[in-house]
Amino acid sequence: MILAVTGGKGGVGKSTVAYNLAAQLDGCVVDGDLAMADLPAGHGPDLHDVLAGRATPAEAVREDGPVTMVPCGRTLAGARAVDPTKLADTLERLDRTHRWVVVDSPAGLRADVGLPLAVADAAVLVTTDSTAALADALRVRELARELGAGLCRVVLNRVGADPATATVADRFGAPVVAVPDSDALATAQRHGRPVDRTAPDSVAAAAFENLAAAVYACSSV
Amino acid sequence: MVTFDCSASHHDGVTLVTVHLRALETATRVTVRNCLDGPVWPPRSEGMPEAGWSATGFSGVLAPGSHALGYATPARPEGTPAELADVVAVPDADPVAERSDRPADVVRELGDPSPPADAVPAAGPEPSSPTANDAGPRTTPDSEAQSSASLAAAAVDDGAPADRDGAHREADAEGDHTAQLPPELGPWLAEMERRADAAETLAAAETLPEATRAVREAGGLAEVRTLADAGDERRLRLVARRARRLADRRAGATIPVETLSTLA
Repeated sequence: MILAVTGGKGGVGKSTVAYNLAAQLDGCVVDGDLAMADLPAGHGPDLHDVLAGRATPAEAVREDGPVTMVPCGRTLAGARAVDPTKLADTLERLDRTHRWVVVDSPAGLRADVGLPLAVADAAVLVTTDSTAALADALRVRELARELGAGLCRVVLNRVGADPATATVADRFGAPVVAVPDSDALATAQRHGRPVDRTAPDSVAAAAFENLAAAVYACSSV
Repeated sequence: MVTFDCSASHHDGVTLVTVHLRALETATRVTVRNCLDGPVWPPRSEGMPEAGWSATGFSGVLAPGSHALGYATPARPEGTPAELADVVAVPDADPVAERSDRPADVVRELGDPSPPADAVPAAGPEPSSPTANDAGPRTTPDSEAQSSASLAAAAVDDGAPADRDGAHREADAEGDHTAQLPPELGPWLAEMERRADAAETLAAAETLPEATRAVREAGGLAEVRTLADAGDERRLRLVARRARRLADRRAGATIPVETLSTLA
């Protein structure tokens, strides 16, 4: 099952959510941000190589880290050399070998956001409670609907003590999972590790557990 | 045969009309007219009515299968809300466009996400830049004015690396970059490369001693003249063009090996 983690605005925590969700689902996270890769990279072929025809999707899968992942190249020249239309085929091929393919989508509303949505079975929207983030997330929700990716959950990220989950759920027409602003989560992400390994008892880890359970529920519908 | 039914519900002063068109066998032009006493509020995206909607209802070509159409109106739901005014089978027409999720269409509609060329630092020749061979920058008229020597050199540059790039861009070209050139071509290309080197040296010579040395290395003035008139550039471009055409033809013809072996 292909799950697009998307949100429109940059810096709302899409990569953090994608990485931790993939960890919970024991899935493969794909860094789909072709021009501004965010997830930890290593050596070997990456998504740029796959989209430029230099490697197969299977060759770019890293299984040595805490989360199985397909990293993305870091260079703009590499991002320019790719054929973005291959992203759809790449994700579908990964889907054949992995139960869960979680795509960390870039910010914006261009084809690199649309292509994962076009092949995704479901989408998880990430937003903070700022007006700008909500507006962008609503635009992406519209695109997801047009491209046939059902909205599974809205992640209201970095919330304080009293999150406005009901209002957001009403606005998006989908259930909301709130992820609190958390030092444990930020530290884990900085070190390239999922929070359920570094701080399994934290509120953030519990939130991702809830999110994963909700995604499971979406997939069985 | 098309079956048509419609229903209406009223919420908060707005009537929502749902129309079902079932079992269209071919692409069909349908006209659905609003019968309620009020304006049609059509479905919109980006603030614009969706394709096919007008003030009186919907008219457009629908693909085979079943469809639902819906609109809103401030009028009260009294009597039949809508009617099927016209049905014409038009097998050859294109159905009203929905947003396509084919990768090429998504890129076309949403825009290529690649960073702009200006954002990429120009660090010498970029062998994997997709625009390097598409644009064909060396065939512009003003480049004709350059010396044939530097053009011949350019033609050699155009050859191998650009073609390899082309292979990378093909959908089924995985592993092509490791393919070797046919052995018959090797010596000829090497000779072309040697002559291009010689031409470049000759073109770059600016002082008398440099020129003398370059002419001597090229094998004398007669050889230089032969080199200048050899038409290497034209021939190399001819080969490149023909090779590209053949590659396109091969790309277009998929050999169904499995099917053929089953038949055999």
